[in-house]
Amino acid sequence: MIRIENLTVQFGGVKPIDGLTVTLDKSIVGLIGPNGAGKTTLLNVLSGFVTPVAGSMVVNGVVISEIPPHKRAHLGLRRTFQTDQIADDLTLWENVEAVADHAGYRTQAEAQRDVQRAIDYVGLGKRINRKGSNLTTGERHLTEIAKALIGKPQLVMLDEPGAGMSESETHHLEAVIRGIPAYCGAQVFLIDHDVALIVACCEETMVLDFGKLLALGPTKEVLEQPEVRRAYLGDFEAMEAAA
Amino acid sequence: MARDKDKMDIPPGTPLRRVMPILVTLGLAALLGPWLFSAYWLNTFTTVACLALVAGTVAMLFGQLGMVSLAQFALAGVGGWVCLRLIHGFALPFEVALLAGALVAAVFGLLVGLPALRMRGLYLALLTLMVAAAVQVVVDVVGFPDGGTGFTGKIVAGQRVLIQRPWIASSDAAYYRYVVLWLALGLGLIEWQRATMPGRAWALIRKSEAAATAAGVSVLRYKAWAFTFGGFLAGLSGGLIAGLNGQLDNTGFPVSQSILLYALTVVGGVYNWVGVIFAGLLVRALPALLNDHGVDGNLANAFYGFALLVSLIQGRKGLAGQLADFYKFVRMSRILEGTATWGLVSISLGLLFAGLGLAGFAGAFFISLIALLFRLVIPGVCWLLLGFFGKRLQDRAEDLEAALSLRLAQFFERQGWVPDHRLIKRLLNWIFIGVFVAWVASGVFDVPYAVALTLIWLSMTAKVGLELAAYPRLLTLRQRIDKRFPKPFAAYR
Repeated sequence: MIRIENLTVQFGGVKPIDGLTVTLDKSIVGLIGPNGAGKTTLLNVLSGFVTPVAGSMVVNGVVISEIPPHKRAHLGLRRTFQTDQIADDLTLWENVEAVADHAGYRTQAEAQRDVQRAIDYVGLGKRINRKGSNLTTGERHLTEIAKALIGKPQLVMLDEPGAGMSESETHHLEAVIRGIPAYCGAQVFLIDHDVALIVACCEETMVLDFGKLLALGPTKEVLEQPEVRRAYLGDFEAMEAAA
Repeated sequence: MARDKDKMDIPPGTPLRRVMPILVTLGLAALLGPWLFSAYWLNTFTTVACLALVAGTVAMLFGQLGMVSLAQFALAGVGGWVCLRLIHGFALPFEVALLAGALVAAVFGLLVGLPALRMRGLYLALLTLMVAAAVQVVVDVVGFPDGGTGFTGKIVAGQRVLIQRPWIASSDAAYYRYVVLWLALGLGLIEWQRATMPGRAWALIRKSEAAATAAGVSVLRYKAWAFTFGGFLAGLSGGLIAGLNGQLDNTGFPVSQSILLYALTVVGGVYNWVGVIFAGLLVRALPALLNDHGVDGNLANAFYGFALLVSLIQGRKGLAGQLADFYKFVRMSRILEGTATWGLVSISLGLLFAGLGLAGFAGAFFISLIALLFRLVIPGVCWLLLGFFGKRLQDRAEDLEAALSLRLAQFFERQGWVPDHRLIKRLLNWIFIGVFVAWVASGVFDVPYAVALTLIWLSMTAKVGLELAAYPRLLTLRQRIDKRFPKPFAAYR
């Protein structure tokens, strides 16, 4: 469960997140909003790459505001990046193993088993010895997810995992994301522009616009709301009326 | 074809398997070196081994973490200095002083690395350059312990006192082996780390520090560790240089050498341990070779600028990277065939020349081997240089060569001759290699030029003769072997 209170981030005169207060307790939560709404900034704040000027964040009862980013990873706050971060000259296995090295496993064997399990889970079991440079875009995104599932993740934050994927790959991705809570018990926080993916995966969705909470609730209902449609999808009725 | 090869999925291999080639190759070099080389060359190669160790740390920092450190050679100076002082001052055993020097250099390495925790690229390079310059200034002002007795070791008028080498390695030959074994240990440790946890963390950091942090890697700790470990090995190398000469002086570790070493490590190749050996050879052995032949060794510097340019254009993998690319394509049948024919030709020529009293067995054996090796390598190097003048020119030259070869092959076929169509290429190759390799070999192996030339041409002729004689039967055997053992070095990296 994520509890965010009065969170404000400021870059000079810009406030990408402005007094955000929200409690997210569903197992898969979607986050949508137009470009510049503060989605990635919120992820950066949660994972510790951006320091807020005000507000507090509590994840599963732990106040995380003061913890440095790599320690947040140890705590089980895991994230992926919009541009995937796969080391080209390591194999897929080594890429995932690099995360397992720092996930606090007691024995090597335990770590190896979990690496195998995570890779199998995202469906890349046949690619373990492929070098990072030779993976396709879809495979790279899935590898990123496998990396985020290592250890004992409590919160897995996915930043546009579906970008650049084909339709069939997206279907596979849906299944992978939906299964994460059952796989490791982690809550999933999903950012994507692909509304279909959000609808397919998320029980609950929050909408940001100019750093403020526009809507929060069951995904279908949220997407029906007129102000969400206006902010995110564009005001079709207004456009049609004008035409 | 290259694409296909790249896509092959190959397990990276256990750490031990990745370290083994280093230990075996350098172990052989340590064993055979004194038997092959004259005193002058043995001394040169000992220095080469010391420099290769420093180059190894440069390559580790640049290749693994993407960080440029121009201070590594200065750190070698620090290590050497401390080592000397301790021996002069307290008469410590060589190994103790060596390790103490390395430890002090490790601390300095960490200090140099501190700014690297925040800086990258050009700024880090400039900063480390300043450190190297600072070390030079300090050394100039304070002076190395350059031969006097006592802790300060300053020479006061009168005789220089040289430090004792370790008792197990007091002769030149033994000291060469001693240094090469340290090199093997150092490079082995670097490779071991590449294959284990630090290497994976470094790879993530190189990709992006944010990604590494998100993966739970403490970027700070792993960067600091790389600099500390690099400083340790560089300092070790400095102590070994001190032991080689018995002394050091304040001109030994100039800033210019630091830059040269960095540039040549890039030329040699930073992603592969073979590259740092190349770097050591380029820094010291090539000028020594030129000097040995009465050419000013500084001429090599003129060539290095060009070499750096070529290696940057060719994708920053350096000489070692290109060699590794070449190895990936080598087939099992060719390895077996090569080992058999090369061994047969070289051993029989070695025995023949030793029997006739024209050269030592080892010298003749190795000249013959080198001739066969160059026969393989030189055409590749020529194409590589052509590529420097543009892809189109290279493509055209390749087309032309293919067309000519085809014509020639068809002509041979019509005449009913042996199907070797590479006659022209080989002839040019032979003249060039004969003249050039004989020039090099006559110096290194202490053989008269005429003998070396005869040896080289004989060995290449014998190899071709063997090939032609066995050709018809060999073809099916090759195919059978290749089917069972596909390219064995494809995983090499």
